[in-house]
Amino acid sequence: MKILVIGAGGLGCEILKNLALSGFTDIHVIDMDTIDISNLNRQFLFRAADVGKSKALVAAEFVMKRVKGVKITPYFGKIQDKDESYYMQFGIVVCGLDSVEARRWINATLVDMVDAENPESLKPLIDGGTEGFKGQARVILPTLTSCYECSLDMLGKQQTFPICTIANTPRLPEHCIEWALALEWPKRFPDKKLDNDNPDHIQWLFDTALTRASEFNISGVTYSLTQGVAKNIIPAIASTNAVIAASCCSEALKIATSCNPYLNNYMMYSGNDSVYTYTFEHQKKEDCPVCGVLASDFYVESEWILDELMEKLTATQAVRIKTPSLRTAEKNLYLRFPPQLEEATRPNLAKKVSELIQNGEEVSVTDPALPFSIKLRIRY
Amino acid sequence: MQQIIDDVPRSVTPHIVSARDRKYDRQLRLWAANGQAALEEAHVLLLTASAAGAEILKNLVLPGTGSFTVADDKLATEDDVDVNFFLDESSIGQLRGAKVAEFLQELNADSVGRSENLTLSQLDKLDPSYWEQYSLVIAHQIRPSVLLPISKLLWEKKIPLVVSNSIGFYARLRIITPEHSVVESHPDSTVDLRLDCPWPELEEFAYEFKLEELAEMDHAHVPYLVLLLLYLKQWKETHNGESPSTYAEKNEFKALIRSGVQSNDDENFEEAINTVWRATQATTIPSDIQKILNDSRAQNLGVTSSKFWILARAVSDFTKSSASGGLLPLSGSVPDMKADTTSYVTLQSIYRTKARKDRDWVAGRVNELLLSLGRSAAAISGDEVDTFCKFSRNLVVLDYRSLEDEYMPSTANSKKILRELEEENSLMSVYVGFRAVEVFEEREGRYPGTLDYTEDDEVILEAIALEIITSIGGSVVNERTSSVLKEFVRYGGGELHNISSLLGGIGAQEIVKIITRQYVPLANTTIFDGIQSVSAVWEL
Repeated sequence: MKILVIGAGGLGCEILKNLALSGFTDIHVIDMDTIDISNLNRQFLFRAADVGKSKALVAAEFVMKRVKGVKITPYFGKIQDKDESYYMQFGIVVCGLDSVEARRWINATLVDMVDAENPESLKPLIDGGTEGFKGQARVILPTLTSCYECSLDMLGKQQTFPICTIANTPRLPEHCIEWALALEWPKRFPDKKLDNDNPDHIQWLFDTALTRASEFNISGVTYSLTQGVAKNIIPAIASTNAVIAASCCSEALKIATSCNPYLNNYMMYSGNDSVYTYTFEHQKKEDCPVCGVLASDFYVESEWILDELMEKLTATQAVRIKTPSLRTAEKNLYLRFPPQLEEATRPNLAKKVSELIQNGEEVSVTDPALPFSIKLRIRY
Repeated sequence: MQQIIDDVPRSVTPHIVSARDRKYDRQLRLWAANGQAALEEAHVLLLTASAAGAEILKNLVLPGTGSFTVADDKLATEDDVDVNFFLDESSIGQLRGAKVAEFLQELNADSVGRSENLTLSQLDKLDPSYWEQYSLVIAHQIRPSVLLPISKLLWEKKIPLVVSNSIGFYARLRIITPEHSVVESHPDSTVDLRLDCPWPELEEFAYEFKLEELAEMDHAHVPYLVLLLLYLKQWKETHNGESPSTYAEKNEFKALIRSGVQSNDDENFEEAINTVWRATQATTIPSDIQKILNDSRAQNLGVTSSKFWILARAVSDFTKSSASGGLLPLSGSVPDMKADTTSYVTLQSIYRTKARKDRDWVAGRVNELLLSLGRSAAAISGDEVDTFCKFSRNLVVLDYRSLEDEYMPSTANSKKILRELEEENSLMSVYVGFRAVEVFEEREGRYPGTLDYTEDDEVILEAIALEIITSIGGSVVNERTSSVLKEFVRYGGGELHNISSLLGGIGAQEIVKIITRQYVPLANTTIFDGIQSVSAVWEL
């Protein structure tokens, strides 16, 4: 059986090793990243001399050298470069990603591929994720079990700070760093994109945040914290990756060989306090925008203008969308692309929701990062 | 002075991050420099270069454990190479431990590895001083007749022992050390507000706010701690000086706060209302912490007392002093809340000043105690006192049971084992399975299921399981246990890489917690069942 591994990072290195030692002989791996020095505390297939090289290429080569008789085909690029005919060749897809966007994309793509007439089109998706001492492994059978999108509201809340706090009433060191990042950088360098990996840029953020903090008597701005906020760094260690990747691969082996029943369908792991696991069946959502059949309700105030509705939409945990375009069956409400349509629909942003959308009307939300649209029934 | 390069000004005094800090950045965010230093000082010994053992070490070498030793006496076989990533084809016929140590060494030049050719079946014959060079020992699948005497030796020397087993879809991990104390347990929050018993500086600050005189914008930025203190004062004036205590009173109190809301912007009032329940709880010393402070190890200090117990004694004395009001030292943390910068920063400094005062009292007492014990005042640093005071509400002491106590029928946790065995799908059956397999291996010199005919092994293994169960007062091997035993025979004592890798992750995580003395380790046994993908934890 051909098996696909998405991600050759902390989980990916473990997954490749585990699959190779579980008897899978035809493994493909996709990763768009290159090796960074901060990967070396856990991504054990890489050495200091590999920094800057493709993760997929180096990982594939290492495992093939160590384990006899396994063929690993690397692809140094994005999952979005590949189409359905590519994904169709695999029996199982195992994901070790740190990006929510990439997971939503592959999940939606695999759900979309399911053809009821062709059982081969249903590709089990095994997904792992970690943060510090915690992690989870799950088995998704597209269209049959709960999918990644069904559980989006289980993700930890994204840390965001209101702009008015950052601008007017900073209290935490993070507020000062956000100020340097979101307000001062664009003002000072309007034509330059901040590069997280450029030490001069991080240094500038740190200096700027530190000045702001001392102005307001706020303590705790450090270089490490600045870097953490700017890059949205999630702590990652070898041991947690080992637990989660092993659990994913054990499930892959069970599915491939039918030797034992596979996980139905979610296992959480936490090592902060003793050893704790919780295994349960995550329920499919009838109104899941990817695998469900119903539109979900979205409550707003009729007095709101469309811009306010968009703001609530981007802040909603279960939707997690950054740059939405909206349309009803009848008309375009607001479209970001192309520029002519953006210009034509822009006046709608200032109009009241009740003028544009009837109570209970269905609105379709799209985002260039997602290969599907979300259907919401607007209620007020 | 700044110079312009590539449009972005480059600081003339840039912050230099060492290559080591960059490599370890993602873990330093969990256990910081002090945890890392403890890891770098450690020397870990692995007994048996199995796949699981190699995986545990892999996850310890990567984060920079100072040194490691792999002890083994076997030559690598094709079966070993099939499940162990730290062996390859060329290893067959060579010393397994040496090869595993060599491949592990490649993972991190900062970690120093070596191997030893030790006869694993005669480890108990080694000179007892042999073990003293190690800070922790991992024993994978060592037979009980050898393991029990070693565990006794290590117990006396206070060297933690981690026992692991991995057979087929089943894994087991057990930690053995006489005492493990944790100061930095990393609780979700160290917030300790003391709104029921504010000290004069806090009261003074809060009571200066005149809510009715504030403009709308300022009204919406009064910190909720101040709101709670103001409304509590108002409440007490009409309730004989008592705080709201019953459910009805608390609701009434919430309504009182809500009556002060002036605009939609008053999120701070919402925050206050949401905190009423916590604010009206009496601040006390949690009972598990009181138990630690009262412990004889704190109350009867001696020359060999550890820093933890000296600090615990100093805090115990603090709680009995007039300086404390009968409470623990204040942590000094203030949660984020809607507030203007000045009020928030002032509030923060009021909490920190009080925390500093409490901490100074404790530091003074620590010095006196050290002096009376004839130890140098430098034995406990100011930072250590700070940390102890900050986490004093979340201290953890784990008193483990010895392996002997677990294995001797007279001291075994019999009731728990027998009760658990009756639960549906209980993992206790897997525990009994591991124990039975150990006895089988001692008696037969091989693992069950390694011969062509397995039926006989099933019968022998079930008879051994019955012996174990009877020895602790049970009478039958139930159906579930019987089917687990058959699984064990099916596995023939072999490892599955995924299960050994998972055990390698859990084992290394627990060992990092023990070595860094941060986060709370397992007490004392966990079993993982890869068939159901579930785990259990018991104190055995």
